[in-house]
Amino acid sequence: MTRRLLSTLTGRNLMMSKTHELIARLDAIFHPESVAIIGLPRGFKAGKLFLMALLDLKYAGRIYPVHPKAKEIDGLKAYPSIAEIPGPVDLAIILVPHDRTFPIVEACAAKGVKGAVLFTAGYKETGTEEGRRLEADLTRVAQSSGMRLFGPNCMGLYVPESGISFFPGLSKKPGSVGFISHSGSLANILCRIAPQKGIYFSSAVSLGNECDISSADMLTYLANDPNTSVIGAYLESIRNGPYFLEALKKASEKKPVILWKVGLNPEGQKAAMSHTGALASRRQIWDAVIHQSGAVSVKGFDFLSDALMGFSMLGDGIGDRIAILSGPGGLAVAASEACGDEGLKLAELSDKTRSGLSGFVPQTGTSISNPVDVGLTASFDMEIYIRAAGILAADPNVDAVVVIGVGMDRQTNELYTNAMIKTHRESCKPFIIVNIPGFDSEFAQAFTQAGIPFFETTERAMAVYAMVRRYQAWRREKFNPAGRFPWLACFDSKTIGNKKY
Amino acid sequence: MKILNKALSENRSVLTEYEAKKALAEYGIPTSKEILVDSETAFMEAVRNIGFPMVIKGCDPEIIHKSEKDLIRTDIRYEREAVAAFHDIWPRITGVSGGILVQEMIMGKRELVAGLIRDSQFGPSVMFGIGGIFTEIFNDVVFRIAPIDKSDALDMIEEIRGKRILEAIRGLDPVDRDQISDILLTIGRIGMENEMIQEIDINPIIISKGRGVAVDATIIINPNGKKPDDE
Repeated sequence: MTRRLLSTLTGRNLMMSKTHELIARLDAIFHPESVAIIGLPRGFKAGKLFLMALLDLKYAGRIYPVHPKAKEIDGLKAYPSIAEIPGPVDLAIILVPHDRTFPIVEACAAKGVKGAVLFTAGYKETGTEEGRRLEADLTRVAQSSGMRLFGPNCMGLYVPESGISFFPGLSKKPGSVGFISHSGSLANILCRIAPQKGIYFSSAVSLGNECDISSADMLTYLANDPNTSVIGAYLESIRNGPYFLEALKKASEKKPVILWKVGLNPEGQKAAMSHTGALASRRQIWDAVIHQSGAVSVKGFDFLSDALMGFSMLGDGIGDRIAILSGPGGLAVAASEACGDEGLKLAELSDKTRSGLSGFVPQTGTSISNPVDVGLTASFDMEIYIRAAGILAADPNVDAVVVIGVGMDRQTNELYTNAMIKTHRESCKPFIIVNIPGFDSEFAQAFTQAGIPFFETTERAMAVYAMVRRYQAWRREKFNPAGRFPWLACFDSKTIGNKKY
Repeated sequence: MKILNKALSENRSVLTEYEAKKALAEYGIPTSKEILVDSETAFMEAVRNIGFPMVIKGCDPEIIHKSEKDLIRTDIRYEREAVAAFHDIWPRITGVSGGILVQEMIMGKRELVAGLIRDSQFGPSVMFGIGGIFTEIFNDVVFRIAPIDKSDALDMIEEIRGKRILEAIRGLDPVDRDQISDILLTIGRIGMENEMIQEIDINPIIISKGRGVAVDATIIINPNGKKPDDE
């Protein structure tokens, strides 16, 4: 018994120290003091992007181009090999063709490089035996040397805080979203549009074929990274399912993990002999993973970016009583429908709120009960929107305010935007702004920069709000089960974590 | 398990209903009382032993879907019916481990399904849902990756669309969710402990007096005990 207990303890300690080692190592790679770019082209070729990206983000560490012939590239002293670089190298970006990669990876390991990004393609993804073998060779080097590998067939790292990036033109501003992607181009696209939605990154990583560092490793790292409060991922295939599920469970307990998984179509399903086999679609199994882990599932780029915005902006403990303030009547009705579809409630407005609204909202073509429809006049007289939003936010029966409005020109729009931001700040309640189709949402970014989520449609707005709320409730339930804390029994456990997108 | 090894030694990848239920019963899953016979004399004795009403089934390792092959006679109430069923089914049983299964008839209006699949990415995964012959048409099933705990199992029961049939409806007893969740836990354990099991199918689990009884089952094995692979 004692021996068994002892071995369990040692096993656990071993696992913990392995996790600590992984986290410490990734942290060092994500904050490198020096970067070598091996195979950096002299001319304007694709590989040049990696240097342009570092310069664009004003990387403050040392940059060592490695080139067999060049003495210097773009004003930086170049070295003929990694071994000849005088100081230590934390991160190596390897751009040489796959038939010449292996000795370079070995040389990096011998040099004591902490991590290497393998941009090169031509490995397992080709489906050939040679590709598989070459990739297995890389994995062996990583395992025997302790140098960690990203890729092959990947773009690598974007860590604004460190000034490293996989593409020029990305934001220099660090943020709280950590992003994992099996596609380099998708990571790049998300990182480019993210600032429009007020999303900024602690780090983003493109993993490619995952010959060494996997999405599960990254989940573990980001879950423990104090700069990351929301994790997002675009996933194609999962390597080592049980390890992934374990990492996902642990990460979701700490912070929201939003996953967009592709490859869930029934096509390619094997002919099963039993009912169970026939019914076990990839989607069904993925749904199981989502349920068991508490992660949030989204589908498509729009939903992913909306969810990252919602999760990073909406505070903790958001409620389900929604007040809707709209100019267009049809959108007001649509918003209340979306509310109900997502399991949210229309707030029961207090008498004080109603009488307050009746004092200035025009009497015809409007409604002063929730959803509050202020009509077309409000687009000319911004004061109607502004006062209504203030009154709704002050109502103790209201947990969040959804505003669907627009001004008639630049000046009224600016007034509207600034007033909503101010009302949101003063009320300390969540505000959600929804665009009106056909009108230019040029002020969208003003909202997102102020930390107010801005959505293209009310359906997306309500879906994301409900998603955040369900995650928060799931997490509360997880740590304060109603059995032990009876006053929490009011949370409706049936709806928690049960909805997928 | 011995039963698995026997099937392996005979080079079979499918356990008969009789073997599958024996394996499940070894793990404590409630199964219908039954006797496997391979002669008319033994059959008559089994008929007296089980009592009416009963179910008579052809049990053949070569045949997974018995109802499609017309090898099931339910609600047998008289000896002459039983004898007729025997003479009808017996000539069509060919496999070495085959025979005639004389089974108590579990009475219940509600049928559930439970099972296991070894997913190539996530490993053994437990299934639960609405069972019976329309299982695949209704497709009202949920999965969880094993190992599962009690709250996972109870969640699975909560999650199916047709969960209301588990309540005390139309004069039926409410279903004992604790007992059903124990069956799901056990299936997960079987999957974790027996790497050679590829698929388990328990369909139907008939609800009798509020408790589930496995009435038919299939187990598919793979001698190589495939582990979850990389992609």
